[in-house]
Amino acid sequence: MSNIVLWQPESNDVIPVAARSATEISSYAVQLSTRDKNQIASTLDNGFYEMGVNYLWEKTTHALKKELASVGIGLLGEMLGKTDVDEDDDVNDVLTTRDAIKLAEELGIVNSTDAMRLRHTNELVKHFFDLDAADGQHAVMDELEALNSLKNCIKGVLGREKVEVSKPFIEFRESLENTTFAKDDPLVDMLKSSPYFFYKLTISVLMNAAKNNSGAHLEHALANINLLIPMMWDSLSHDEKWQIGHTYSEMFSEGKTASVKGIKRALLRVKGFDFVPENLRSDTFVKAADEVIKAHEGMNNFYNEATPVRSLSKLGSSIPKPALSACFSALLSIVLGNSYGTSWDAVSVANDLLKKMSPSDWEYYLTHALPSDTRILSKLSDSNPRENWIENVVKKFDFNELTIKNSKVERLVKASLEGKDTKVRALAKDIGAEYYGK
Amino acid sequence: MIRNITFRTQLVGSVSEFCTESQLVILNDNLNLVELIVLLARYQEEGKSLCPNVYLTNEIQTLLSMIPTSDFLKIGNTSLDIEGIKTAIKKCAPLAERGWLLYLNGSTSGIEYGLFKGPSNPISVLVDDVIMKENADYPVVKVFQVASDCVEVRSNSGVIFNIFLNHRKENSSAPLKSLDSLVQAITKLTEVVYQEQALTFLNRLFFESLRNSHGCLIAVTDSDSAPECLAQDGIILDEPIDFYRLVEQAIKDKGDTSNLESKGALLQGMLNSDGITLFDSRSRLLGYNCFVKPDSEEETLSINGGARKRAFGSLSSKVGTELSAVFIQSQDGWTEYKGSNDE
Repeated sequence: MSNIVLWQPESNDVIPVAARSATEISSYAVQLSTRDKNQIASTLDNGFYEMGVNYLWEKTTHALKKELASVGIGLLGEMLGKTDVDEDDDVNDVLTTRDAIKLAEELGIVNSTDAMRLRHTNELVKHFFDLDAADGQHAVMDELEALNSLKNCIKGVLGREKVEVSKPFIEFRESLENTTFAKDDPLVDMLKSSPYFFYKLTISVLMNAAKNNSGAHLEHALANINLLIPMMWDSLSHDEKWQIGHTYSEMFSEGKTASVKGIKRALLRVKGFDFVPENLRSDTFVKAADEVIKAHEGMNNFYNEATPVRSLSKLGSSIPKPALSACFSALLSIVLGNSYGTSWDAVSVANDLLKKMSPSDWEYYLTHALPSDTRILSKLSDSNPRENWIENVVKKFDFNELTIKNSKVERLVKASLEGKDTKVRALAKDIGAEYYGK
Repeated sequence: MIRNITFRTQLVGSVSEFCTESQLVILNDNLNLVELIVLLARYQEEGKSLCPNVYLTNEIQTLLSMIPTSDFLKIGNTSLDIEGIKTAIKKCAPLAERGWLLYLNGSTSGIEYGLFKGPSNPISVLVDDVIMKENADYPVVKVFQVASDCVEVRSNSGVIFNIFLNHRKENSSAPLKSLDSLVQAITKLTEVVYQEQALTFLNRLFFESLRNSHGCLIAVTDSDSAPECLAQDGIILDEPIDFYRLVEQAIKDKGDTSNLESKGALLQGMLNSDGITLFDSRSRLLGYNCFVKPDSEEETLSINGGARKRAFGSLSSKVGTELSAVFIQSQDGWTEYKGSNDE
């Protein structure tokens, strides 16, 4: 591997400019059967846009999630910070559609432009699906929206024989699991100067290997843990440090002695036992936060969000540190909402819980978690959530009294306090770009 | 001229280098370790024999941080001398049961003492696998009675002493030396996926059960049914207790170990019953209370010892054919093992 940059699939224009009708465009969906292509084209040609696009979207997300599943459900769970995921789980239960698009972009299955288009299609499908009977009478999907969605799905996913995880990612992962690196290995040198995303990915791959590998693959992974974790430790955010500590704790209670010994050596070298949770109580909070995200990113979110947010609030306001960033991310998702608005019921419960967060909790989240919380950062590119961020979060929760030890986040908060909407958007984009190194 | 010769005199010299290298405040004075060894060799409270595991350290909090979901109870502080050690042991030893371990944390101001405990989950990693290995920066010494009149002293740098306070010769093997071999034999043919956890569970289970046993005899077979020599006279379970599957289930049930623990508790009673407890090498308990007939009268006469020792001799001759391993624990806690790879 000559250089570590965010992996990108080969660009390809799968739909000629001349293809304009639904029948012409859908003929390039090589992953669909002729029957599926004809059904979708016929539905759109006859003006049943929402029905056609919903079916098309199901096919697209299915193909995307199927490819992601080939990476291993455990690794996907690690990358998303989910604590209760194992290889027997169904990919559809583990990933929301937004998660799937984000991971597909991170692992080079789709490029960033196609990922943006897929996110847009997802929002569109969700919006029309969520309309109640009365609103649905007046607001209908138009032909242009339907044809654009068709193009987005084919360009990003269905127009290629097979969407695949990028080869450099596979090589990167294999090298972590199949080779024991020396200190002066070129990959180790490159990793040192890589964007934070690769640190996070390396930790996810290694922790997943410590949990699931055996024999020589486990030995290589543990040896690399002992080389790479001390090297990265000072640069790791608290979320990743907790992830390592959590893996140690989980392996301890599952009786995986070899993995425990390997991770222990690394933790001893960095004096990192402060990040081993005293118990796994935080898992309950992380699971509850996951349910909030699932509802928020699923269909009918405005109706479905309130119940999981109430469940999260019933766990109490004393949130264990390892679960803080997951809970903040979930609660802020509710309060910021999406481009169509927020769920009033859920927002009031989420606000009650956010009010109980101490200044040090907020400082912890803003300093250590927000810089890699791509879910919240991407919301700030959207005007409605951004307005909610400025008015209903930053100004409301007295961010001016917080000490934030991250210069970019500090600037973001300052711009938000001053109500500089455009600057907030640009700074949020910068923070996300720095995370991915693009 | 009358001259007194004691074990203490001999011991002080033997442990001197060990105490210096241990870097432990409590062992700055060799006599502290000697007193602890002598104290634990036959420790009793209210007529009841007690066998606490005692950990000496300078940094108890660091050690505890290595044990997730650990529990901890400080009992008190005492002086850094023999009397202080005696006080700490007297206050804590009766409590150091059912997984609770006794610690003495030394500092220049004295000894803090109390109890700590690893996770209750019976498949979790053994506490000793974490704190007694590869922590060069945090010295720990463990002292415990491993069998009657024998105390083991081990440091986390890998040095182990077995101190015999009886007539045993210097080249005698350690009392529990064969425990690992027995558990290896019992898990030899299990599936690989959860073999590590099954091994950990059985190690913990046998260690506790053998400590409370008054002697026992265990046979292991590679066959999935009881060998003829034991099936004729004994209790052979219609449905063997499959510890591997129980461990697998406990992991899949995310820590619900109630079934595993309740089945494990039966082993204690079986080991305390007369006769032989029978396992196969897939971690299944096939039967107990089994008896073996000697093959010949000469065989019986050639073995010195009681009925258990004779039965062990008889079973040993079947290792490699009907059996793959046989293990004996005598009444005083000493063990012997013969496996099919021991020739």
